[in-house]
Amino acid sequence: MGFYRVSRNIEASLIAYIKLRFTEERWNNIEVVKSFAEVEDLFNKNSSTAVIAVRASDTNRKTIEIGSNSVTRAELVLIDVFATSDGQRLDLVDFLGDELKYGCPYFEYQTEKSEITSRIQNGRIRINNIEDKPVNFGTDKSALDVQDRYRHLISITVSLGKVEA
Amino acid sequence: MIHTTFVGKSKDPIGEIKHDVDLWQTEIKKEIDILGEATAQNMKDAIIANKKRPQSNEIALLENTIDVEYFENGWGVGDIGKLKVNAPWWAAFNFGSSHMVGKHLPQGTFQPGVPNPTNEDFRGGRWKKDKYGSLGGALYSPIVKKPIPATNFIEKTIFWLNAKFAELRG
Repeated sequence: MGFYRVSRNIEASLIAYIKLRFTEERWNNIEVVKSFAEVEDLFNKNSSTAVIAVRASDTNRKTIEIGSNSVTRAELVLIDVFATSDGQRLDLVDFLGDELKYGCPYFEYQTEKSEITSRIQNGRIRINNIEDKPVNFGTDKSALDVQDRYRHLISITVSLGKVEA
Repeated sequence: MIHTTFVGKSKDPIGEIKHDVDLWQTEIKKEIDILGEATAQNMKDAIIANKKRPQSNEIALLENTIDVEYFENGWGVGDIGKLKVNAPWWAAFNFGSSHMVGKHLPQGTFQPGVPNPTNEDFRGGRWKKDKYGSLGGALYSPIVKKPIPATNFIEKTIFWLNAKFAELRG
């Protein structure tokens, strides 16, 4: 039996929460994935599906006091929005911003043969900062592939509000 | 209304406080100026760390364009105008893009190695544009199969910089 470390727990917890909120708010044709490469496959299958890619990126650990090995963690998580129209892009970004600002449950995941077998909630993910910007390649949108046309990038900084010994 | 009373032995307590604040501001400005150079270096490191293929004997246009520019009240890193001219692919490299998937690159050669390199060979060499065969390798026009992955060197640098500012604030 294996288990995810903190960064993957954060990533998986955020994906689970975003999926749940889309379902609860009855959004259709939205996929939430963690790999950038999956976006291409999903768009090839159905170009009318919007895709949200959630990736844990960098970590900053800060010691709580001089001489201590205990740290607090801040994690950069990047959320790529691949919408199917400009209007949907703006709606998705607003929705995600509104939903994420309150934080979400933090789960610890257990796995077996690379498959998730169980998860246990252990606190909450706190969102310290949210920034977003449209992705602009500086070229005419009609020259871009459909998945690159209506993109937006949300950068969030999260913490668990815990000291890691 | 709030009343504030300064108690001290100094004849000019306000003047001393102002002096301390001025000193502190000078120190902070010095630290922030030093941070400018470090930020440019951090961004370059983030670019280099995400390169998949060796780039020996070639000019690294993207990193070379990243530098710090000082203004009267601060500094900036990564002039978009310069990037657009010197390394117009910066956006595709930062945000990732699939705009080339399924398309043919122009005629060129893969060096060192042979045309149609295996996945393993790909990490050892680079495709170079070569219309007339002047580089000496066998010419071919490869089809791009995979999207350019997002490196997010800009977002990573902002994250790093925010942590440094937090340290400065104490």
